[in-house]
Amino acid sequence: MRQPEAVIAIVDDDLSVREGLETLIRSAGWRVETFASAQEFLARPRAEAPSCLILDLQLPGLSGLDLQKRMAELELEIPIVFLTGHGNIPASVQAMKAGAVEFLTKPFDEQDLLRAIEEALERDRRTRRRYAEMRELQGRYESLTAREQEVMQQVVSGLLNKQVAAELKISEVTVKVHRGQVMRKMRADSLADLVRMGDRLGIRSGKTS
Amino acid sequence: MTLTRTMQTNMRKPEAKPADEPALSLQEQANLLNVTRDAIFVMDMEGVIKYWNLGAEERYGWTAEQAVGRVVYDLLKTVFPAPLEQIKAEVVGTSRWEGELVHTKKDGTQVVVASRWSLQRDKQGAPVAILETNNDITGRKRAEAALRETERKYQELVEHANSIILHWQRDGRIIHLNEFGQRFFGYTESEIRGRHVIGTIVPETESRGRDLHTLMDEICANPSAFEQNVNENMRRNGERVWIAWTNKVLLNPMGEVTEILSIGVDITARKRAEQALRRSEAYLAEAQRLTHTGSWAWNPATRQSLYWSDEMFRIFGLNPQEGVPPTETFWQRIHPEDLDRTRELLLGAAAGNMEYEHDHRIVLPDGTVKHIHAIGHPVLDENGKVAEYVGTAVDVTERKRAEEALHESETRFRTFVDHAADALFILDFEQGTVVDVNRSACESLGYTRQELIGMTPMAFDVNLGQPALESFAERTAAGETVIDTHWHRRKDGSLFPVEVHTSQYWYGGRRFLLKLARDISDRLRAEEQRQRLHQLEADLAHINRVSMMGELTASIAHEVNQPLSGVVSNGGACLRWLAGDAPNVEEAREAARRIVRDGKRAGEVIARVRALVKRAATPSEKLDLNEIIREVLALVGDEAKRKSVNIRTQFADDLLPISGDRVQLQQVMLNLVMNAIEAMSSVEERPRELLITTRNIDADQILVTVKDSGPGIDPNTLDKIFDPFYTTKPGGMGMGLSISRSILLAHGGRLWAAAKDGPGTIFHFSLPKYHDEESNAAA
Repeated sequence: MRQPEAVIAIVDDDLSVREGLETLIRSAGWRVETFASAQEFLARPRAEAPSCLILDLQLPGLSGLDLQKRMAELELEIPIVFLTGHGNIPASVQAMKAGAVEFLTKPFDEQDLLRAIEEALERDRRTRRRYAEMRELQGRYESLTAREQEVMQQVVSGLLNKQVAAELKISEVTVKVHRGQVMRKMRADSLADLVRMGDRLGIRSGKTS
Repeated sequence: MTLTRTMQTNMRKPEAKPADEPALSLQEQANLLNVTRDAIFVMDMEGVIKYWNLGAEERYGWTAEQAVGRVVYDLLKTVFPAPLEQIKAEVVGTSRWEGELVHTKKDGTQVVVASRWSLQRDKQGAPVAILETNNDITGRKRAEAALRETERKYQELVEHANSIILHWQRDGRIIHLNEFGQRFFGYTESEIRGRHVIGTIVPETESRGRDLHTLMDEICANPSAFEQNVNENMRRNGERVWIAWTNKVLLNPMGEVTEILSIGVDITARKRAEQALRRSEAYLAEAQRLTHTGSWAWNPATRQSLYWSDEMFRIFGLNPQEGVPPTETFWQRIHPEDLDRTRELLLGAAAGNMEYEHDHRIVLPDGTVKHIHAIGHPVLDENGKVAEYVGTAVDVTERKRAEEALHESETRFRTFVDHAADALFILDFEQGTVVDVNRSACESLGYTRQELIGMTPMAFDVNLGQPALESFAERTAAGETVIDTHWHRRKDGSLFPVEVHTSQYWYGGRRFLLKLARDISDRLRAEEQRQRLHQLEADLAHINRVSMMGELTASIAHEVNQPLSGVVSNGGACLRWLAGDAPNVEEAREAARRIVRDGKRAGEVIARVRALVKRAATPSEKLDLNEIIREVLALVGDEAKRKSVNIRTQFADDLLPISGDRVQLQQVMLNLVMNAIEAMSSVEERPRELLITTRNIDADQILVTVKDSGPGIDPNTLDKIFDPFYTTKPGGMGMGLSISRSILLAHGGRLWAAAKDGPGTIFHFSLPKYHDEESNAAA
């Protein structure tokens, strides 16, 4: 299952490596962007982020690990496949801890690289989906009235209708109406579903959180 | 006309010119000849008498009538001293002859005549006649014979006299020296006759310088003043002799001195005895002066001195001309502090007929004080009574002063020696025991001087055994100062290192060893520290080298990996572009092109790295490997000594020079030597020996062999020992042999181990000889 729209970015200061990777990845059916340094990559327009970054560990100026750290600071969540000239265990451990997909030693096996790219794209897809769901959920939450948001916070915190009424100093019937609106607007199938949404949105009543 | 006469003159036969002197007639000549009383006659060449004068008639008794016409030799029965023909030939040749002939008179008596012959020639020069004149010498002959007889008698007397009899002329020429004289002087009669006395039996000058030329002249000029004289003469062999001469002058009729007769007696022996006596007296006086010894004789009865020698006067500052001083003067000269004791002793000794020996001082009028060593000895008369005392007084002032100075200098020297930082030992060479030590020696060893004296140095010198002591004796006897490092043991048993200088000297006919020992604990500590640092440095350098190799490898890997990655990627891509229903040939070609490009690039990287390595390992110093080995051995000398390893070398004197990196080759040697020393540390049952040899294999390479007596190498691991990180040593890195082999390979050489008969290991390495071009040294 290829994603023809996926863009693979390559950052390597060595022309042979850069061009070799580019044609190999293109031959596998992906679009490719190449950069000779970390700075060049960071200067790229950020309209649409690539799906995978193939990054040389030993770069002049900002190193591969430096760039990884920088991207985390910028919340640029792009799966990274690291390449290195020779096995460097401490560096690879650090890279993997920071979320790298794979750490390949040159000259690498073609299949290993393509598999790593596939995995990176898969991870990217999941990331993108998670981001999309989150944005949907936030839209729904923002569509709630202030009172409805208050009721939702109380409910996902596990309070009974009666307790919510006492808390908000409104009648229990009014609570029930608001709760029905919340369930509908949030498209929650059950109370448990709503509680999960509340978790993801990070909304719980101040009392319990 | 004139011309015709001249021609006639010339054409005339040559003729003898007529005699200028007025010619006497033959008769006139004969009359003239008759005047003389000598016998004169003329004979022709055959001896026939042509003329006979009156003298001849009287001499021989034959008248002219009887004689003329007879052959003269028949007439006179002539006896010739030589054959007649020979005499005739002489007359013809020289026109004359002279000789003694014996003629017989008419009455039969013989006469001896002195005969003179004269040749007469005719006008053509041909011999025609001989004129002979005769003088009768018979009487003279008889007188001569009588004289000869007398002379012979005297001669005998002269020749056999036991005195030298010399007959000489006024001008100094020797007429005769008798036989005794000839024997005495060593000349024969013929050798000495006619020679001058000066230069033969009389030297030019006497030994004592008297000019004998002058003496001879004086004797001749005034002989009466020299009836007796003594002078030095000379034998033929140059020996000088003394002769007493009695001279008698012989005068000629005019009363002038013509000859001298001298009779000499050899008095050399007497002369020598006189000289010897004079000399011995002079020697004694000289000896007294040199030794400042005066001698004296003293009469105890009169208590007065009998005799003082010149030196005695000199010592006491008295004038010998004034005679032996009275005893009072002697007492006055004695130093007041010594006077009573001296007087007591001298008079006491005299009273008891005893010998004495005494030291006292004297004071001279000018205040000079002298130290006197006096000895007195009684001389007994036939009755056993003391006739006199004889003795000596020696001025020992100088000696006393010298003794004091010596004592002072000894004290000073002792102080120096005792304050010296070095310990000093004087050993008796033969006994091998301590004779003396200084304070430093006592302090360093913790013994007293009394304890050390008489001790053998082996008691405190750990390294000194009997063989070592003997070796010292031998080497120092050759004048060498032996410098060595030893360990000394203190009285408390503790040890400390010392540098010992040992030399030998003679004193008073005995041989001594002088040992100077300096504590070198501090120096050794510093040395050890320096060595530890040195070792650390070497270790660091070693580690550095290893890590550098790692880095170099990483760098090479990285450099090659880049284009290699490109190749792999492009290769994969190329295959992909070509796969499927619609291969993308254009992309595939591009990928293939990149493969070629990256492959080339990888090649370039390799070439660059190689060039780099080559440049880094360029060693091209010209080196003497013997020297390098010596330097390394100097470095490990102490280590070997500590581990009791005996290192021997057999170096080829003509070892070819090699080219290389001095430090790297030293590292190789150091590795091999240290390995060997370490390997032998477990060996107890045999000597730990390390033999290093160098030689030329051929005209182009050399071989170094390092042979130890260690446990050797298991043949099964022999091929592994050069692998990196292979080690049999607990703390070893296993890089030594590996690096050594790499270094030698880089120098174009080889390193290998060989099996050895018996225990031990042999390592060989070879190196090519030095070439100017660098390329020969590259691997």
